[in-house]
Amino acid sequence: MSILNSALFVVGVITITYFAIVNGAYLIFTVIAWRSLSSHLRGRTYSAVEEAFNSPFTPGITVILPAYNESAGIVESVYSLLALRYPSYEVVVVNDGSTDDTMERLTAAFDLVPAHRAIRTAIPTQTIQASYVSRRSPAVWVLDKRNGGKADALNAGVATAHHPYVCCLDADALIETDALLRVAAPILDDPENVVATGGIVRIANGSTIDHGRVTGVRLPSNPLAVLQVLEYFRAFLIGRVGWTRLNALLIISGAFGLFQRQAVEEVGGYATDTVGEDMELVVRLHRHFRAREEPYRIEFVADPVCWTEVPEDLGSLSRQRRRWHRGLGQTLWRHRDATFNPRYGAFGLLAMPYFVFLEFLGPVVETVGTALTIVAFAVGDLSGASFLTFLVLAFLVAILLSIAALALEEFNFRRHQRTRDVVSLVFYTLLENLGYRQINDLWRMLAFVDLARRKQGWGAQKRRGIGNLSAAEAPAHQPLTKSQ
Amino acid sequence: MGLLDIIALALSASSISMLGVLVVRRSHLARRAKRQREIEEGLKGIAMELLHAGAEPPPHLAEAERQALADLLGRYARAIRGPTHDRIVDYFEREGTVARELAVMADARAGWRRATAAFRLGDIGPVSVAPALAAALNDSDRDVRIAAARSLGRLRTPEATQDLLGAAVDRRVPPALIRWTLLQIGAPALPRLMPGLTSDSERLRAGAVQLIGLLGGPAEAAQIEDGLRDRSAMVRAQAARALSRIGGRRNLPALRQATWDRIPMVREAAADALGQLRDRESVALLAIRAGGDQFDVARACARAVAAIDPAQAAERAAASGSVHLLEAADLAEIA
Amino acid sequence: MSDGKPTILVADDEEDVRELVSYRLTRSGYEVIDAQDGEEAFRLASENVPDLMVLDVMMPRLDGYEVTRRVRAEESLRSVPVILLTARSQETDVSRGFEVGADDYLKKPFNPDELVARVRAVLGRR
Repeated sequence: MSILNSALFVVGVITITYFAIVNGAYLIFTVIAWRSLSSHLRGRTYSAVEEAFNSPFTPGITVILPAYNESAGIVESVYSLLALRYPSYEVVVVNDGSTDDTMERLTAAFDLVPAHRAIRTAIPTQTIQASYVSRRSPAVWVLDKRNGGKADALNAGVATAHHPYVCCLDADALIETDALLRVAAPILDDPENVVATGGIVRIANGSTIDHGRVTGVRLPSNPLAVLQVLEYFRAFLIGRVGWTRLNALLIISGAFGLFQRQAVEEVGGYATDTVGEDMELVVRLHRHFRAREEPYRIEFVADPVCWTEVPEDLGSLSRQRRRWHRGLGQTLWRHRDATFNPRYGAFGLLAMPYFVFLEFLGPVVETVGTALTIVAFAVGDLSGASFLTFLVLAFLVAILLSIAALALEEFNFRRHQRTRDVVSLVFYTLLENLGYRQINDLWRMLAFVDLARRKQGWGAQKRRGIGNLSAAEAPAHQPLTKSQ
Repeated sequence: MGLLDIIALALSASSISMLGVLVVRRSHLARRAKRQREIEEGLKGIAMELLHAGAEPPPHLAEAERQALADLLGRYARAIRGPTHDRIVDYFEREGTVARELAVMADARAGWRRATAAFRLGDIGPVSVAPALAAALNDSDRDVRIAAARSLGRLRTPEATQDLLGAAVDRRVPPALIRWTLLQIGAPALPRLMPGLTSDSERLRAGAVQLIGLLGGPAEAAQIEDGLRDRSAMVRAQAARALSRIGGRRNLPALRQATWDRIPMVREAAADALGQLRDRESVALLAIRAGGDQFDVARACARAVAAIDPAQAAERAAASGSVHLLEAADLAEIA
Repeated sequence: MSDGKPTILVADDEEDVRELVSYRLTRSGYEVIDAQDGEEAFRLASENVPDLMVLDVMMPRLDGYEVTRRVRAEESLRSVPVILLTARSQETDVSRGFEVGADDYLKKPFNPDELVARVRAVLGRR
């Protein structure tokens, strides 16, 4: 009995510390987010975005769209990219060895003709077999290459980019018309220091889409998708704003990020041997510049929007989360020597430990903590009872944080026009914290199994094409959102 | 009741009150937006007659209506120029709005209020507000400085050139915005840009060269050519780019020389300029460089060959197999 | 065209600009048809051939260049003059407009008096 007691005590202390730190961090982030978001958005009205659009001094961007078996939506995606408001950009579709008729559809829709395109050799990629340019819009290129996965496809795009900045997207992401201009705003303001920026990802399920544009924002009818709406609010509006302030933002969503091409080349491009290549690249950029003590900025921008479809069934969602968590594990392991490394400033001392202990190990602590509470209850342990009180408190704080994120969205963006959508979101904050979160923890714990099976975690892993995952899964690495 | 219970109660209470605020605010905003729209619809005819024909608005407008009319005219002002725009400016001057905004820009405690005023003055202000806007380039709040620079671009007052250049050099305002502003001011800014060519700051020299290239003409080409021998690579590259627009035959020897510059960026710009200026004598050399120089330089050389003589680009591409020439020839064929 | 007023089709996705243009042209004695995007503009033009089109370059669905290109390719619309409104002042944008077959262009922010003068000139030329 005393062994159980002391076990409960130890786990209880760990869990309480964990919840205290996580909730504390998120409360701080919420406060930071409130302050900087409202001033940023107020600034929107008098910022000079239109002027940048009309200016010949706005640097060019190469938009890279990797595609693996995207026959259904690829033409629509490229059309939506052609409607972007940006003074000087090109669209490079990288067909990553699709086995369907992606290539044929593109050829027909854009009147593609073969054209040579020079390739930089700094970052090796799978062979690019052919390149094509559109006769209808000469700013559209298609690279036809052997399958090598999303990271490899992006590297190929970077290697042939004509412009000094590259915008990396998911094949099924819909970028709002002025999003490129807005996500580039930090670069226009401070071109010498800003090396990467990322926008916000919103969930398109349930909304009406017309010609590659989201026209009516509606909540999805699928409950699982609604839960993810809340999750994404919190991940984007709260965490990333805070990390940006510390210049220690570790995640720029693979669905929508803008990078200085030279910086990407200097660090060697995307890693092809991880499933979390988007986070891994950002971490590598941090290390690169911090190690050289060169000034740099990596920023999250709250108003440029990328719409994406999220999984609506438990099977794909669990696979997606398991994969994201595995990607997180791989990146953290690869860069383990940066954790607590004082050389790396806020990135090494705060962001890396935060991701290791709170994001990566969080699901274990939460699950074990919850399980032991039940055990303690079953054996009638008193300290367990006060521990339960603590869990209830943690739950209440979590709800408060969810509602704060919702309020943040409502006060600053008001994208959901229907009041009943907002009301049901409020209801879902309960469901999210009591049920969804626990299931999510279990999915993420399965990633530990994957990581353990592959010894070092990334070494032996087989390369997969982007599309080995179902289409709904394609939005690559998203935030490890869960806060607690 | 223990401490924990009190905390739990407090947490629940704050969640619920936050929700309350959310709901109340939402319905309030929706109602206000609807009312606003209705008022605005009713005022559109008045606004249109005012700006297209100078018709005075009826004198008995309620305060909410005056405000809505001001918003509407402010928005319209952004889309138009010429006499129609002047009528809007006159209206706001008569109404005292310009004076009020000037006071806000000078005195308001909150930065965003000053910034909003600075921004609005660019749309509704007469040229006479330019000195006040130029002064706002020194505001402590970055947003105010940006709004002021943008507004100076809308007002197109050449007198502000010096202040704008200063703001760009010490990074009070993003240089790209300053360059846009000066471009809006246009040729009248030229005389004030010329002294920048001999400044000690390489940034200022580069910026001046770039803008003179966009605003100037052949008369300035000789002075810009000196920039090709500047000690700063940034200035040399900008000079080559500027000459691609305002340069002529006379500048070709110096540009050919610049294709051998130590810094790739300068070589690239010089190759582009030779292409733009259609320098046939350089074709052979550029074609060779397209096969051997650093990536971006080689690409620019190939692009230049194709611009000067597409047929030769195709021929030489086939002969040399240079991928840059092949790319340039393919693109020339499509265009 | 029934009452002898020339019909002008105005397409711009920005409501303010569209209203300013339409109001001014109506006031100057033209019949005006409004469209909110390029696709609607092309559809309305095909249904009811206008005497002139004023098209914004940056529009959703079909941009002004593409509408112009399609207008030039369509037998019934081929000779309808097009004036483009462009926010961008880069030379390439202007030359692209002429390449696809536009008759004239106007820079935004625009001068409504100038717009009317251009409309008169272009209509007179035909």
